[in-house]
Amino acid sequence: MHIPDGYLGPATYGSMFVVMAPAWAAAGAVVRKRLRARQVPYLALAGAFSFVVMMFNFPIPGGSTGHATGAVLAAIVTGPWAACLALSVTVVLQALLAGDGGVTCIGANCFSMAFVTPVVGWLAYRLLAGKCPAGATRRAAAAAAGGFVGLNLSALTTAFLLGLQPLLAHAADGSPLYCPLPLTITVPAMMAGHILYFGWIEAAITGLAVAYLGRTAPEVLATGEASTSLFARPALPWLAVTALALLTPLGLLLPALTGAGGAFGEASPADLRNPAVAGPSAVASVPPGMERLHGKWTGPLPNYGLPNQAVAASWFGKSAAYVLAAFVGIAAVALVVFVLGRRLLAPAPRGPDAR
Amino acid sequence: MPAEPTGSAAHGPDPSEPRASARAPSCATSPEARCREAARGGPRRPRRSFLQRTLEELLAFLEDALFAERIAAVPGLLQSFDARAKLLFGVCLAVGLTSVHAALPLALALLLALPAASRSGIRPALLVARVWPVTLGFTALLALPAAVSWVRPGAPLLQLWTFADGETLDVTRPGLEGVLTLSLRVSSVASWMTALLLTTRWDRALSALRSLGVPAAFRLVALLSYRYLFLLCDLVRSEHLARESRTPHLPGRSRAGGAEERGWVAARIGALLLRANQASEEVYLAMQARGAGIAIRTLTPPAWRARDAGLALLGLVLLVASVAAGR
Repeated sequence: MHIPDGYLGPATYGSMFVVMAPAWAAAGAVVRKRLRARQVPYLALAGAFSFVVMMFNFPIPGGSTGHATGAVLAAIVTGPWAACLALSVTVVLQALLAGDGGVTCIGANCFSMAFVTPVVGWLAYRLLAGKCPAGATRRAAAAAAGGFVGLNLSALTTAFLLGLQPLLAHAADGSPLYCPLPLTITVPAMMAGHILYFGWIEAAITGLAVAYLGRTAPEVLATGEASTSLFARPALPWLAVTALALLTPLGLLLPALTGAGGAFGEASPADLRNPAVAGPSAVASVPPGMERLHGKWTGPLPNYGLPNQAVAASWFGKSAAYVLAAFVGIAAVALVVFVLGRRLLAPAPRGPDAR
Repeated sequence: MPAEPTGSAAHGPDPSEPRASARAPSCATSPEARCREAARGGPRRPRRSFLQRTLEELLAFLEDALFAERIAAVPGLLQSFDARAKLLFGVCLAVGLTSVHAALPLALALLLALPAASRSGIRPALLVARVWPVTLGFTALLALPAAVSWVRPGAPLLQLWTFADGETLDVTRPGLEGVLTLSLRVSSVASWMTALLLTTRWDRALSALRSLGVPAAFRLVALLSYRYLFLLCDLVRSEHLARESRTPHLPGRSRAGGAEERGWVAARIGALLLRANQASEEVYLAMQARGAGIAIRTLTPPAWRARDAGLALLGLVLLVASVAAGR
């Protein structure tokens, strides 16, 4: 699941660093608040654990063996935010030490393996575990489900990142410049292996390890549940924003269903001349200033789509671009708000005579 | 004994190495031996148990780490540059190469990695055997579906199948060019990054992250994580070796797949987690005893030399040229 260098285009791997920046900042804030000086050794050992756990061979019926990531287990024990940071360290170590995953793809790999897996897996675990005691079978089953869901969603994220490349980056003749496989191949190829095989290994290891911890050290499981301050209040707004981002393709679907067409004069000044768009307000000629200035600045994601709409002409391509643009926009706004918040709301420095 | 990594390496074998190789299977004794065996299609041996597989992977990891430390200590071309300059050069090169879309410059970059590695004490054959089978081979295999006419229409080069209705499934020219370009890009970046990382001491590489603006806390966490990685690896190795030595190897008996074994592995993972938790507490107390807090003090980095600035500048020039050529 580690994406090597060269599979993702600069626009994608650059965007993934931007997407991960608020996640790292938020995780850092939570961990700093909870652990203070303990954070450095705690995260270091959690990172080392995540690295080593991937070397365990898990016996499978039939005599074969498989590996697990242990990401959801780390999230259950250390909390999702500490796990996000520790797993990010692991991804960096794997890229630099073992050449596992590309250096340019560190942001993308961190997003899928250090953010999606622990956070989604931990949310599923908390949802299913409820308030049952540490040694309960239900808790182990919830951990197994969390491992399965977290790993599969992470695989889906990787499949999307790879499969979007033919839409995002292509030559003038349409040849893909990076990963050449479309979503119709990457998603089934990745998900078949993970849903049928790897997901079950992750589920078994996570569930059995939580059952073991529940019997031998139940207090350790309580630590992860205490480190959720970021989820305590703003969870609902974040989930709502994510849901809205995923619903953005409705903006394409509904006008097509209702025959409403595009917004008046928004896409191009030429629409003002077109009676089909402008109706009775259509004009014979567009003011030259409007014509001259139109298209001077299109932005990195023009019309919330891909740089070249010709290739992404399908509804699916446009929808994927809409969702991508939504997430990039959310991440950019969150980053700006975070930076401004840190600057503007920082406590004033206290002078020597301050009381 | 594993072979020396370089012909010119003027250093003795690591004292810990004979012990490791005495216990390890031949494929886990040295990166070169593993690469040779991998190139031959792997050694022929009976199916290994999950214990042996984990032990082999742990040994392989430790061997690779020792091998990298040894290469980084050998005098050579890439070793002579400051880690910060190499890091900047490496990042610029990686971004630059991912912006190139023509096969020829990518092939040139791939071939240039070989003399650079050779002058840095890394045998070109070793670099090829270590990187290319995975990057060139795996990428080509992965991207091969994109070479056929169903995914990438174009001028047919090789007809694979003719269907009853007359439609054909072909390998197309644009499809094959795309696969070749992708494979060359992945391989050239991986070859250069491997050469740069093998010739850089790990602590220096992490310190150099400072020049990219990576926070000191992250660098310290990564450095500590790397140190304690070996402690945890040793713990896992001891546990697996203890169980392996107590397990009778009876012919005809399945050696993996039992529920008890799965439970044992999960319990080892849980115990490892508890040990890591405990170790973090001990490290924290040790840090406190020495007066260390959150504030991180680092050594003053050495001044930039002309050759270091030159390498960083070369990286920037290559980046700008690659991005301009890629547009």
